[in-house]
Amino acid sequence: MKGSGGDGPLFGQIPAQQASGYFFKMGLFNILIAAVVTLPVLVPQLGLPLKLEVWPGTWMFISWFVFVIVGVVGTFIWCFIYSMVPKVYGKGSVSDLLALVQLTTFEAAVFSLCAFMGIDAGYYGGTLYHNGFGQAVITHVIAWAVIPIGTLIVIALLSTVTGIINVYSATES
Amino acid sequence: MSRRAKRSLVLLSILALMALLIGTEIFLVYGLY
Repeated sequence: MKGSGGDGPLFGQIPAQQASGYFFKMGLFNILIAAVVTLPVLVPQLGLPLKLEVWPGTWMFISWFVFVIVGVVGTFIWCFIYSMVPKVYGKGSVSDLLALVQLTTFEAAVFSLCAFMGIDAGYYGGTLYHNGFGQAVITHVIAWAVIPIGTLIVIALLSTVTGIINVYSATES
Repeated sequence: MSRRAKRSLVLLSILALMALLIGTEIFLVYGLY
């Protein structure tokens, strides 16, 4: 009785392959995001190559690289980890709640921290530098993003710990 | 309320808690001095 609301626990145990599938789909979605955020390179008016080569424009590249490594490759590695759990530990069942919490917090944290780094520090700061503003002014303008970025990094780390807990708390199906 | 909606609600609540954590952090750092 799907959709009736009275069908067992809301989040139960799921096969590790299904959790692996969550991360596979999110990985594909992140590839799409990575492709879309790379497109502005083709717009000459944005001057990205000019802004990228000096601080703080370099944050655009750091942000893009972090997204590709953590958001795309990292998500596929979690897909691989979940698919390996039954083979390595002989336990085929993981927590649906932990997997989904890991997935959603990881995605939200990585996407937001890359957006803060790339758009505020990288693009906005880089544009100011390109327009001739000095280091003190730019630091004052873009510095607000530092604390949210740090907090989001902590959330991404907690999300990773959630995944580790899920792997170690896997049960036999 | 459907099962799917309930599940989404739980996950959205966790994301909201995350946003609250970030908001608190920003308030503590920038708001209280």
